[in-house]
Amino acid sequence: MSESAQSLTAKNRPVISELTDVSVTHLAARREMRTSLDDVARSTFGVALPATPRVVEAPGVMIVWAGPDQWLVMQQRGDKADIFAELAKTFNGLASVVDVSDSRAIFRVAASRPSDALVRSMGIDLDDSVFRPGDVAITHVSHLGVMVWRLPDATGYDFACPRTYSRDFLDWLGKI
Amino acid sequence: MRINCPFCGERGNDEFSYLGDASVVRPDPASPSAADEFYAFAYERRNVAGPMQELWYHTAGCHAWLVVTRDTRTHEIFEVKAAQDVAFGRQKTADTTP
Amino acid sequence: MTQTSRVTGLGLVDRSKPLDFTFDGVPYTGYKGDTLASALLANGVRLVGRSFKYHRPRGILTAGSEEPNALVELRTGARREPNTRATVAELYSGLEAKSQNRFPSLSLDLLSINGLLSPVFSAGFYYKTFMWPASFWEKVYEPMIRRAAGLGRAANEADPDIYDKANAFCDVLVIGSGPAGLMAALSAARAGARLILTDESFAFGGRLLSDVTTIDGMSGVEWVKSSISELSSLPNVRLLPRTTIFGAYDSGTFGAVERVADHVAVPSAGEPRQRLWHIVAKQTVVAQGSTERPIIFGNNDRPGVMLASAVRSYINRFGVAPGQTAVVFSNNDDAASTIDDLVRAGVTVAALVDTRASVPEAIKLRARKQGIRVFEGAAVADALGGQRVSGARIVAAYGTSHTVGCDLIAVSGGFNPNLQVTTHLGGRPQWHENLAAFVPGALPKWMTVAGAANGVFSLASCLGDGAKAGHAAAVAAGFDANATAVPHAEDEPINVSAFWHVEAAKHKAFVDQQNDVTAADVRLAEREGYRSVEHLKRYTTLGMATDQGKTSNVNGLALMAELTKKSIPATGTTSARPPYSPVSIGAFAGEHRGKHFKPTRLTPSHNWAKERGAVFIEAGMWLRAQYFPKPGETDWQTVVNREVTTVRSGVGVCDVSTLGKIEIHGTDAGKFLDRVYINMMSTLGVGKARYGMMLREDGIAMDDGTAARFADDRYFITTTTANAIKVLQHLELCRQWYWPELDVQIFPVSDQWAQYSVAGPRARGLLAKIVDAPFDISNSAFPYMAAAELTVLSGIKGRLYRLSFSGELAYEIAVPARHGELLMRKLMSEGEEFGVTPYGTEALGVMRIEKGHVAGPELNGTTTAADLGLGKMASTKKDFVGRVLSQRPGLADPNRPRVIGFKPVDRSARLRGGAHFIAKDAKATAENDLGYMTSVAYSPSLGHWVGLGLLSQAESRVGEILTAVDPVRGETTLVEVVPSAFYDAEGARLRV
Repeated sequence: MSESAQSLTAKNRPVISELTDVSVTHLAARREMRTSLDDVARSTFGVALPATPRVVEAPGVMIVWAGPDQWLVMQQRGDKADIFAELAKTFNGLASVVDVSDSRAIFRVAASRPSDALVRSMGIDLDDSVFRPGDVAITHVSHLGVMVWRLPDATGYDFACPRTYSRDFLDWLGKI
Repeated sequence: MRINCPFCGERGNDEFSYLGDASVVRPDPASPSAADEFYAFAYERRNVAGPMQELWYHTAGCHAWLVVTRDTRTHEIFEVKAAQDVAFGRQKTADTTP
Repeated sequence: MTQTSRVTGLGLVDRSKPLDFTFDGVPYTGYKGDTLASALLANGVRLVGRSFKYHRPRGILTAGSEEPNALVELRTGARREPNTRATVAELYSGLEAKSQNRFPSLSLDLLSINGLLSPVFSAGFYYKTFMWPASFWEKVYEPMIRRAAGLGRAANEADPDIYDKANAFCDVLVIGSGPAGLMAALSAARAGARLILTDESFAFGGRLLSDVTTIDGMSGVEWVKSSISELSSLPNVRLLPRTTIFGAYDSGTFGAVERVADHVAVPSAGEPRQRLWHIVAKQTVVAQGSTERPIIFGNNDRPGVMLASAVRSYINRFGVAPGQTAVVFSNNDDAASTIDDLVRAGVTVAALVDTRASVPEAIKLRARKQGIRVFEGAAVADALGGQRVSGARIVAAYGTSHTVGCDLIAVSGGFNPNLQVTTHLGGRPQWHENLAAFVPGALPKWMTVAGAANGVFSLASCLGDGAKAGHAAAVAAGFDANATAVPHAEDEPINVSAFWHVEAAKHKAFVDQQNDVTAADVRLAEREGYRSVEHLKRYTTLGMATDQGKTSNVNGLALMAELTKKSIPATGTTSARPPYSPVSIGAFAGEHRGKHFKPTRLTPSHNWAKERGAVFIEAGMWLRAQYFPKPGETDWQTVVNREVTTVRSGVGVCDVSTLGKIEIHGTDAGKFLDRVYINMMSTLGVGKARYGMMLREDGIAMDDGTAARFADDRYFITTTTANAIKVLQHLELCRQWYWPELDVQIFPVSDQWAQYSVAGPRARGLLAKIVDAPFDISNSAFPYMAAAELTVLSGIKGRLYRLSFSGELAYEIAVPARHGELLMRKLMSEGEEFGVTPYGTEALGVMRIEKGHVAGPELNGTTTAADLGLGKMASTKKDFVGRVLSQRPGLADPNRPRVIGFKPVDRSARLRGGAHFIAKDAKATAENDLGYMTSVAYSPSLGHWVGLGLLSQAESRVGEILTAVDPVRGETTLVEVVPSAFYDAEGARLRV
């Protein structure tokens, strides 16, 4: 009868994969360097650092807002040389950079729209009309800290949770 | 209760930690009466019935400290500012840095 | 059994779907759409329980969640659930219900003798009767009360069902789906608002299901059907039937419980039994209708006395005649529809008893047409009969008394708007004289009330009120739309004339039926001075049962007002607290039970440690290896001794990844750390590490750890496992609030690194095989307290710190977490030639006590740096958090207990943590207390127990013999006060 009861019996679970080959660099603007940092970031990545909880994409890079004046720069690691060292050099004096590639486990849920179970499970409003492609939220689910962003091309949702909690987080993700 | 984080947007109070009165300012440790001032800073609090400025920390979100103006009787929230901005504003009017 | 009281042609139950159930073991049949109560009534069952205190026979008073009497145990075994209201329990096939609070059987209850002893159980009986002698309380009184006055029995086994938690956000929440709620929902949904409509029943429609009505030319029931079908077709609407909004909270937040599978015997696989909803609504329309009030008269609790609106529900919604001959007892015009419905159901109406001196002509005509006697200005003074009503004693004008035979008394004392939710945030209901009822007072900005809940009673005005409220809510939530047209319906007023209780009652007259509070109890409370509503409630327990006084609070208040000759508003008001109706604990717990009670953090070497047979211990969120038994080792002490001895003589590895790890960057990083640590960090050389301590602003130690510097503007600090989050929060406060002008960036990186302690005289040899060339690990190139970034295991970026907690030559080596397991396996395989052992938290603890290092038991929130023996670390050249207040005379007092070491005088004796120190010949009293033991361990290195403790005048007592008294275990041990470093006091082993 109720909408929620229906979706519980639905078996069409979305595909969940873990992103493992990604270099993640945490960038935090040095004091009063924001303007210069923005300029260098734009010329380096081809996109501006998002000033609000958004994720932006450019070839080979995804930049996720991670708090005021902070971002996660995500790049495919592949067989590239030291991605982190390069960023550290580029932003020397403008931003503090830390390699956090191993801090979080990142899971991608392939879904163009959020399932009712996913919407119900989150303490933030994940409704299709509210949490738009490119939106980012730092929040918690089931007592676990998590960052979630909706891919700018609306093909899915990424969840980043502290690595040491990832077993419990996967338990949770498996239920949505 | 829900708090409108200036960075993350409106969230439930389960995402935040409460510290207390935001109107008390860490005293100048070089002041000749530092002992008394720090004592007051650590222990002496008004018990406000009405709008009050409070420090909240967005624990589960962006880790920003916030100055929240809240009516302690009704939990109505009138204003939320980044603590860092408030601190800068305060420093402009009176230099309180050690 | 046949359903003898089912009326052909009436009701909304599905007669093609019979359902079997049992009550007290007797099999019955009902229909889909029945509640347990309606099914029992259909089968002629009137007596369903015994009352709380007096064990009086009780039946079914209502048809809703306000039911005080018909409480039953549902289901059996692990699913047994006590105190379930039969009036809301949805019937399902195989339902098993039992009556409660009866011994040995429902119809023969030996404990109803309580009724004869009732003076004992009058108001305040807990306070008065059982005061003396005090020693009787535990042994006599309490067990007696518990046996005599209990209700149902909870299940003895773990709940086998799962419970879910869910969140929902909406523009408009509409609570209740009667005429006002449905119209509000339609208006808001048509305007485009995201809407949630809840109803506590399994069917939407509220009173429209229970009364005969016409809306826009169709029956009320058809109108409900078409409205729900429109709502469910809209994508912006979520319908939640079987869902009770149990609480309103700040900022438009609501708690609700959805009974997902309470209407089946066993939930299907994976389906939750109930779901706890957390709903955030921009605007809310409360349309929860009203609850009819009983009138207080003698024996008004007898099975067969029923609210008039409930009588109509049973007839119209369930097709059940709740009696054969009825007396209608009322103070308002609503009695007319009750009579019509009774007649239609084939029930003989013996009399209409109206408390009003003059009943409207139209009603009188209708009654007389049916041959019904009308008593004006009269009252039912007493119900007659024992386990079932057999008649009514009517006291009419001029004091004449008439006895009328009946088995049903349909009573209506007016209507109380269901405004509980409007009071959850402190709203005070207002008395409305014309309605003789409380209506909602001041409301939060985001809440409106519509329909009967708002004191608007006729159908037409409910529809109009709901439409208006729904439209206004949508507009307030930001939607721009025209108002919805209001369908046409009748506008029947229900003139009510306040009437509370019948003076002429000869028998016990109940105000609160669930808690067995009588009118006499209220009078007693008044005589004894408990006149304020709050006192009345607590003294008599009126309104304090699980129904929160839905049918009794206003009556109790009115009675007190009469007794004190005050107006009702001057006497008080009624307010409620969540939950609106009882919520099971399982729903609140949700999935957080068993292994999901709290999250579990796993260290990077967890899988390896598990494989290795480690015994784990929960430390906060963490699961840590406590020790690693080898085959043949049977007790933990043997294992720990072996681990310690191996570290002290060879090499061991311990996962210390649980330490909090924070990167502090920026041009002012050094200056910043100087202000948060008691010691200097700005002078730390690049490539060096230093132990540091932080204080709280009040001068008490907060946390300790190490800081390493990798560049001028780049530090890495560690915190204790327990304080990782607290320290980060503190540092962010310092950065953002105290000193925003500093150029500092803070990065929590606890999860980034796997970090292992490699300790023991052979540690260097082992690590030489791990670090990549050309890194020089020699003592001269990488001395004690050095720190370096390097690569290990052929190219993995890592970090090496020469730090020691064990007191041996030791390192901490860190690699990105994904390589943690590999590094551990390599340390074990490469370490084989050195006799390496993994060690756990036990051995770690033993070695730190042997070294006299302080940890959690000493940094316990009461100790200063000086108390911990670290006073000299505090820099005098700078300010830091906690400096000023740590110099307060009280904290600087040399007599304060300080950390010092203890050995048992008899070296074979065991020490006990928590034991208190008393001078050797003094009595073990609080006055003679000198301090207590904080940490103890058996030291395999020394061959006896060692302890650390906090002792007054500690340094001057070194060499003294004290008594360590452990009153918990009844042990007394002589101990010698010794310096706290038991092992290698000079630290020679660290620097080799």
